[in-house]
Amino acid sequence: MKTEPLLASNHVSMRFFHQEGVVEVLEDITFELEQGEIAALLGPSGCGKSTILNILSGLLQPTGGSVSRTGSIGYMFQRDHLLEWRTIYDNVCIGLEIQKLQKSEEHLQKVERLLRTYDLWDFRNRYPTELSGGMRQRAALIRTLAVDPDILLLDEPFSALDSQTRLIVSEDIARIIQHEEKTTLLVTHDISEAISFADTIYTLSHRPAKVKTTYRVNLTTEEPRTPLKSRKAPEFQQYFNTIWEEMMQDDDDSTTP
Amino acid sequence: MTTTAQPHEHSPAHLAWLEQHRREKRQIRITQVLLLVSLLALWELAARMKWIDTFLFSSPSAIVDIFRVYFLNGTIWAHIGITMWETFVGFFIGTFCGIGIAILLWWWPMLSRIFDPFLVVLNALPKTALAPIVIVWFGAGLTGIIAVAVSICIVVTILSAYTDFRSVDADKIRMLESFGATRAQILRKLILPANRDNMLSLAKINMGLCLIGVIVGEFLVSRSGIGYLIVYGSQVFRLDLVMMGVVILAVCAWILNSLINLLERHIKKS
Repeated sequence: MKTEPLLASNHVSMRFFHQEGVVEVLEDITFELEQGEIAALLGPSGCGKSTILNILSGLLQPTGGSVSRTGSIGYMFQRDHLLEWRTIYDNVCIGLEIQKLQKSEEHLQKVERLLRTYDLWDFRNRYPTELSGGMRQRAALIRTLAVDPDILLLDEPFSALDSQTRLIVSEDIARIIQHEEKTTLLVTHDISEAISFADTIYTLSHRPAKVKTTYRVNLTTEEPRTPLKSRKAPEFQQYFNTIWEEMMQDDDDSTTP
Repeated sequence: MTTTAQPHEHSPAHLAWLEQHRREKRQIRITQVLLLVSLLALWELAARMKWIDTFLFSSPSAIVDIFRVYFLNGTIWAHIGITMWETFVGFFIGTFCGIGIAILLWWWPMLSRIFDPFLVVLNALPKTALAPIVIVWFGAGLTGIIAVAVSICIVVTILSAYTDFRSVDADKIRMLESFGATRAQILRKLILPANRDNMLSLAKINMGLCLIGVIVGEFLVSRSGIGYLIVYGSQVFRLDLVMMGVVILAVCAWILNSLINLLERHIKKS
């Protein structure tokens, strides 16, 4: 028997009204996210990925189609958005404060466990400016995990980092997500990031965006799978080339009248 | 990760640098005092030698003489006290109401769109032009003068604070919203703390603006205060009185500024 998906987007479309006219941003976004799955939405820059995330998290209402969701959502952004006047500990607890859970023993223990497990406990009384980019991004993820969301939405979480840090941080974040067994949707424009991170990849077209192809990623790596190991898998290049060609073709389509 | 400089207490190079630094500071201070003293001496000399007309320019010794009179009969404290009090009250009303109104504008963006042109015009208008009207409305007394001070500083407070509130990163707001934050929580946990330093510098500007407002108000109507001393002195052509008023005003402005700096340091430390 098939389990109910945690998050499903059914033929979602979105148009925005401006003074100059109507902009069709999303045409047909359909996909499902099942318990424990890590999926990626892979699309060219400016195809409306942030709009999709805003619709999935309920910040925006779609103009067509529907979103069904059976769990709470945790959002992780491109930049860490740590508040520089708060210590790392107080930053991590801000979600709990907002949901009036900052006195809940259970949640505070969870925060402590997360900080200890992911090497930030010794830095809990430091301020964000005293931490490296990688540590800040880890703190941002712990802030999201502290309120115990069922689904994680990652909005290009590595693109603000330099290429060195990027590999390390994505390794870190992947480890945390696997360890915490979080259902995750990654939104990115980076092909290798999507392949190295996700079990399922949905490629998106240019604006107005629709889901074009679904790839199930099967790589021969030793367990547990990590982004770095995935990048070394023999099938990696094959996936990369196939997706690359598909996206290039899409570029040609969109430039010819 | 950032590295912080480690203090080397006994490093000779550091000691030499400190000594050099201290010497420079002392030299600047000495030069400042010398400059002031020689200017005053020149003024006094010019007055005694009749190079300048003391009826128009007065002289340092005459200013000291009249100060002694006011000081000995104690009336100087009443004048200083009333001006300072008016400035303080105007400052608190102007700053708190201004920031409060800015919060309302931030809370209801519709409100800010409606009031925007009015605020812009009011801000561009030289507020001293409103002073006579304000005095008529609020009465020729303490209330009227405080109202003039408030009218001078409140519009710029509203506009600056609102602009500061709006400049907070929209993604940070989205981050809080993703946890389900209410508007009040966004205000308390993000907008206000993110603008603490901006509001402190607003307060600093407001103190100066309020003093301007109070002096303008006192010029117009009062029976006491430093502004009254200055305008009264000029009406009866007692330039020593006018000059004394200006000097006292300078000292008051300096004290107010120091108080604000003290407050700033206190807040930033905690």
